Amino acid sequence: MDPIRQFTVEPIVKLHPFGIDVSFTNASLFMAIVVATICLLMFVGTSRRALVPGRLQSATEMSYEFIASTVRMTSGTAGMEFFPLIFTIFMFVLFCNVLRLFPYAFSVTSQIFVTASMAAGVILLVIGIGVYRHGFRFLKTFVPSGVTPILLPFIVLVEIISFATRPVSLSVRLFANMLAGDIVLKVMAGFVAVLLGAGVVAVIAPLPFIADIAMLAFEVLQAILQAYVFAILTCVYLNDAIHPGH
Amino acid sequence: MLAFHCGPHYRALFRLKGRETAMANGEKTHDRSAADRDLGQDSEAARLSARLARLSEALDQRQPPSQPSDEGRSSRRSLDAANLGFRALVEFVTAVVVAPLIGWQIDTWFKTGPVFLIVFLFLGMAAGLLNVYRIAVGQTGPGRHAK
Repeated sequence: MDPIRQFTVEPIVKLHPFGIDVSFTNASLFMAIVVATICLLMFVGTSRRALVPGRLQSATEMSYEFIASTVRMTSGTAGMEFFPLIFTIFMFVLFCNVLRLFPYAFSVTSQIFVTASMAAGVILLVIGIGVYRHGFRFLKTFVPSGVTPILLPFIVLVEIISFATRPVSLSVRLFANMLAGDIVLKVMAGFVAVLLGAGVVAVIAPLPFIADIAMLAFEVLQAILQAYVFAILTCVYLNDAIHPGH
Repeated sequence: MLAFHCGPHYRALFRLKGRETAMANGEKTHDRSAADRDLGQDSEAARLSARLARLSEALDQRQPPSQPSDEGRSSRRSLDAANLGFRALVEFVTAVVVAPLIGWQIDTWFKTGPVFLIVFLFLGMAAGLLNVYRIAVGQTGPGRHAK
């Protein structure tokens, strides 16, 4: 009944080589399931390569074209070299978000460590690409043109802080949405159980049940939307690294 | 979610283009059809691949230019309003939380009391407002607002 207990990470196979905890946990298990599901869908979906695509093939093609057009729209054709990364991130987050809605599934994206490490990876890549492509000119992204010299140090500080908040906001947005959704679903389901065991009041037990179903539908939308937002913001940040400052 | 329709759209474009080229080459294909029948399957395949190449060329010409267009920004803007509000909230709150943390860390390095924490709290508010402003205007990334 505890709506928080679903988030506990429990080791399945304990591994402690050199004193480092690398146990295979339920989180790792579900990440592996997610990756296996994506691989299976992609391999099976692209195996037949029919001219008139079947259901699975058109699903894979649609996801490909959807992300490709998103990347092209936000970061231009130059951004297409990062397409494999964006596609991987999108599919991983999407399947984590959707598969967590199944009963007994573990919610991977409700772990701040998972989202934070993904966001940190994205931001480190942005900095790496920016410095590699543009060298010191990348630092000019923090110095907007056309600002009076008196205000400039202040603006530069604010810009740097604004940049530093990006990985945090990127990870917290996904994490908070998924966490809140999971908790709401479990609390609503808890209401049903409590009401059923409360004698006469059991008559209104279907109400939270219906609400839970509506929430579940909303969570499906939220799962897709948050994966999309994560992918598109990755695109936008990468675009800043490809074309720094204007 | 507009871009979900991209697949059928592309396919429709393909079909349309194909019909156009077929119409343009209508007379020629009529003349050639007898000779082609003699040549058999090989020339059929060659013609098909040539036509496919023409089509993909035409598709490439129709592709949007390489620079990022405003379409991306507007499609982002057309996302759920609630989602937009939540984004703005997260951007503001993280800035106000992260900046004092940076200030606090500087304070522990230089042992300068709560000076930097307070200074960075205000800077964080400014950065948070800047983030929210950028979402509202539809631009992200530093240095864009002074264009």
